[in-house]
Amino acid sequence: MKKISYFIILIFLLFLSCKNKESNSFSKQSNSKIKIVATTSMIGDLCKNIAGERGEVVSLMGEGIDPHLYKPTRTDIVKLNSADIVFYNGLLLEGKMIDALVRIAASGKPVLAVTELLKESFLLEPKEFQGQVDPHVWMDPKAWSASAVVIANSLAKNCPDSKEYFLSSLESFKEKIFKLDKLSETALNTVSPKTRVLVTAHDAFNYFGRRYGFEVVGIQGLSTESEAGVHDLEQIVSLLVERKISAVFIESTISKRNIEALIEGAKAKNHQVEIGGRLYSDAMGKPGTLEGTYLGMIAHNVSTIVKALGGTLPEEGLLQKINQ
Amino acid sequence: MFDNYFYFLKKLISVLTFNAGYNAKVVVLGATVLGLTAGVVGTFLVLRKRALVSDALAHSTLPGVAVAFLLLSYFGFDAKNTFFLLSGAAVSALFGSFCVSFISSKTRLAEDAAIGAVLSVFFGFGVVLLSIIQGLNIGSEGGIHNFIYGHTASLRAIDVKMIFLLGLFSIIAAALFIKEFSLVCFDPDFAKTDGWPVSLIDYYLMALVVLVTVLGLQTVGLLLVISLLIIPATIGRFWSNSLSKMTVVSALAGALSCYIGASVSSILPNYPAGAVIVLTSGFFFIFSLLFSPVKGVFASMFRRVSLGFRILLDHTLRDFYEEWEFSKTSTAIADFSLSKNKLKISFFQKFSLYFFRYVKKEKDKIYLTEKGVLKAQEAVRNHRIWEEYIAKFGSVDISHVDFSADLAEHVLSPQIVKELEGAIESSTKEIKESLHTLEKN
Amino acid sequence: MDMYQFLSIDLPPLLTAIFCSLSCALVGNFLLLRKMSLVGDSISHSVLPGIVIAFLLSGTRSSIPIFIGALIFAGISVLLVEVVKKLGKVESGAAMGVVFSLMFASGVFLIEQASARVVDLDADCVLHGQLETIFWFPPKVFSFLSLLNLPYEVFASLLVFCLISILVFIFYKELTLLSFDKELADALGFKPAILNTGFLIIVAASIVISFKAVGTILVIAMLICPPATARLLTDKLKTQIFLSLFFAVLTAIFGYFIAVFLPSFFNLSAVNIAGSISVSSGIFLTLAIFFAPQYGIIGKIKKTKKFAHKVIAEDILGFLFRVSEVSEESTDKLLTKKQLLVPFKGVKIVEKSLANLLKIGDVLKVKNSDGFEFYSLSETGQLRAKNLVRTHRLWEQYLVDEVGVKEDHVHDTAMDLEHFTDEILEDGLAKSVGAKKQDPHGRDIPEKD
Repeated sequence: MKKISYFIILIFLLFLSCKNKESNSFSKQSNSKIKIVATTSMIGDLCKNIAGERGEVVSLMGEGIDPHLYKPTRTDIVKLNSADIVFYNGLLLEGKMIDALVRIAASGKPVLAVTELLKESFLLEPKEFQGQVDPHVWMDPKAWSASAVVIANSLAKNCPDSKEYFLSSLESFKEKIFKLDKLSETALNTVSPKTRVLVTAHDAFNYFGRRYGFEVVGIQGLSTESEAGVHDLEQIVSLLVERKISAVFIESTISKRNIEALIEGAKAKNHQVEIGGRLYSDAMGKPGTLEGTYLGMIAHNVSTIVKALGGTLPEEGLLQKINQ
Repeated sequence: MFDNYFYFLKKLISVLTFNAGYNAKVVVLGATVLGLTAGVVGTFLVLRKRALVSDALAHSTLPGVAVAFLLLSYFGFDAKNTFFLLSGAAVSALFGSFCVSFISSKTRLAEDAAIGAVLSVFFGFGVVLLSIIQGLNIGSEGGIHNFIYGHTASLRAIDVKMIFLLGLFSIIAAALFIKEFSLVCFDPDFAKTDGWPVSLIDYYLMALVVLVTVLGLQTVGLLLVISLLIIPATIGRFWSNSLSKMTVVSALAGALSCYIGASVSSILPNYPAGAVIVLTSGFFFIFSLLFSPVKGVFASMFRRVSLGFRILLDHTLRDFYEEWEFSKTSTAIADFSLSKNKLKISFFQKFSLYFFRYVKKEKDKIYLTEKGVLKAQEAVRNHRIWEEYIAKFGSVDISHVDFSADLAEHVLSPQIVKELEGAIESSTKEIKESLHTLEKN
Repeated sequence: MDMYQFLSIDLPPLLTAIFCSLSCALVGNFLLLRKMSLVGDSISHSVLPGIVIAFLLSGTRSSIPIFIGALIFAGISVLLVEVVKKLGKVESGAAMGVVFSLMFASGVFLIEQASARVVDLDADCVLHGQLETIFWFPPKVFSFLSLLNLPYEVFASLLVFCLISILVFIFYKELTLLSFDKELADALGFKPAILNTGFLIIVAASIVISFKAVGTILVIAMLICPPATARLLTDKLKTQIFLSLFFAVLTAIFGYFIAVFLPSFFNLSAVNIAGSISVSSGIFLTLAIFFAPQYGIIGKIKKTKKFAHKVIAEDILGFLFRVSEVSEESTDKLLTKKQLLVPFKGVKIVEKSLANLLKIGDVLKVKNSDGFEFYSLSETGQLRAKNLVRTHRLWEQYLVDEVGVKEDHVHDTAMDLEHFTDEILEDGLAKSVGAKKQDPHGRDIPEKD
């Protein structure tokens, strides 16, 4: 019994010592900045661009993390609770965070889905998954600018002092996005219409495909939870062979095994397919790199696709051109 | 409507004959070999009454995969290298199996508690490690997630080669030690007292199970791999009592359910391979449970009914005989007759008495046929020998003998009758007087 | 701020984890005794199709239909296991394995078929649970009344725990009887079949309530580990139950703090709480396996070692006594160390046993004038040795007379038996050997003092 009581005391000491540490890392830093928590890094990047120095942005999901499967830890809950405003993607992208977000919203804190301004007619609803809306809206830069609007408006509402600031940074960011969109369109148009097929590990590129006129085929469904069927795989293989498609793409958040099986299957039918490169679908690249920003991510995807499918890119690169 | 079915059947046949696409061929082949191997190894596992140890093993692979992933990415290798991840799984499953046998042999806790504890603690640790990986920002955990639910569709030629080699290896490894296994499975106590290294043989078996489990992770995933080990083996048990036949049946059942399951899932969309394979084996299981001629429900029900039927017939014939004895007439039994309503039996019994030609009817009187006389004599004799045996050796009171004799006499084989004769020292074929007075109704 | 954060984020999941652990541990005790621990494992896999079907029928993710669906399928799985066991004469482990893997597979199949993953319904939600998302926003001015606004999971788990405790309290006698002696329970008219079903329903309910909050893995861990830990510490059922409840609470708290605060030392984000609680239940179990006073492995090894020392020491005493018996000169009774250790060649611990005997004074070390060391029995040692030899020879005589062992085979058996013989047994032996004063080899049996 004595040992046990020592043990209990030990636990309490541990607990107390932790408490102090916690209080250091989570104390309020300054009152002027608005604390923004975003679920995915794409939303986080929007917030950073709009709030600028007026906001302090935390995004929960880092590089290579699959938002479909992300389970919030207590650390995330602490971050969510200490936020002034929370942005999430919505459309059931963050499948395992719904409970937490609903509870946060119930407290009266502003919890906003960045896709809320999109019209129903705009949203895609794939035939195979009835009743399920494709959440990968950020793949269409124009649509994503609508999300930027949601963020700017709600930030302005919660922080009226900085309204002007938010709206002006929204304008300049929108400008960049539109520029990127135009450039991407010209670059992707150089790909011959016959080979405009995008085969990826899961169905993340439907909006991208619609915007730039690509046919999109994903091995796994909208969510990465589902298991890929042999049936689907076989069909995609025949598609590759029939249309003579030379490149397929892996994604940063998903195991590349399915894609490899696909390549092998095509090879058995005497059709050479290569991995065209790695696309950023559900998460951005490493923070601090070019791919770690939204614009960089889209630019990376576009240039990878154009290169792999035999189109031509502007010599100085997409991103440099935007900043000109 | 029919076109659909026709199309489906055509597709199914093309997959089953390996004429469909490359990927379907690879997947079906890999799954079939895996099912075969799991069937063989599973037989020993189930006979050793360790079926659920495989559940503990399968769950304890998770921390191994996670640790392998962490190590690989820490040292900057490709963190989705299947071979290393599976090696990690094997190591931690071996450790899990060691823990199960250590706890159940060295402490007072029974094996079920050991299995449950290892299963939940290891898997819990795996979940903790996964959440650490999620927080570390070192790339995707998607590869690991696939080990829990399996990813049959993405099997490649090299995976199938690995399954083939290791599967062949484990079948040979099991075949080499089949004598030891059968000893340990059927009579572990004897094996122990006879000086066999029982625990060593057990570890060997567990190592084989770990091998199969790890192979199965890629196809059906850790939650369903145990069904490949348990269900075919249980099916095997229904069809035979000999170890070698059981193993063959189980291997076939495993291979067949994987073959069919994987084929079906490669034709229809939204049919996840792992689940369909398990459900197919479940179909075979239910079929065997009901219809196996050896241990099936219907077979044993039939046997029970036919036994009851035989008992009824025996009783009727005995009644007839004792009626004759009681009447103390000087006529031979073949000439003894009863009036029709004296024999109080059901229509069904009467029908079968006629059917087997034990009795014949002449002018409202019922006579025993020659066959019937023999049968009646045998029934009475068995009854009385058994009665005497019980009275002599079983220390049962005379007044109770009749009742217990009634139950056993019908299952006496000629050999047992002989032994009983020896025991009560009566060697002639005569029929003794009943031990107790006959009561007539 | 800190206290507020604790109340808001840590208190509800902690309480839920504690209450769930308590209910699971309470029923787990009886499962453990009946060697049915894996029923939890089986049930928790089997509820998946129930959840999917409930979802498809009701169209919502709300907990009540899902709870009912899960409960029904838990019952079905228990029933099916019994059916397979009875009809197929399949051993219970295999029967459970067959049933739960089939049910789990049909759950997975249904999910894919219904595209139910639309709304985050997959096998994951049964496996892991979502302790992290049970939080609330307590009012700034805190009073105990405001605890009533805690998330409903806390109250649900508390309610289940209360119900289960009441049921266990009422049916304690029946459950105990069922666990220890099914036949007796039957004979006393307790209707084990009904009781058993009732018991399994309680188990199913506690599992189903718990897994939404904490996940099945934690449920299985809490069903097994705390009762197993307690079982290693005590023989009494009541003590075992209370100890297991204590460990359940301890494990939940310990696991929670490992998950939440340990990573913050290394600047990592918190890890999965349910997983960490199961790991910590494993830690406590491991500690008990090794260090439990009576049933722990280290304790057992110590006991064996102690016994080995006792045997060797007694053999040394016996040897010295026998030497002194046959020697006529008093100097012959003194042995050098080399002579003394001749019969114990190859026994590693003999030196230590001898040292121990010297320390307690049963053996004396004498130096003669030449400086040689000799060993002999002291007075207490003489007494102890005499009794040992008496027991030994009584056994020999007994084995020859009563058991019919041949004379030249009895020595070794008696050598073993003498170490286990207490005074009562010795008296009994003396009585059955009777008036004989000598052993089968013709040596005197020493008189009792």
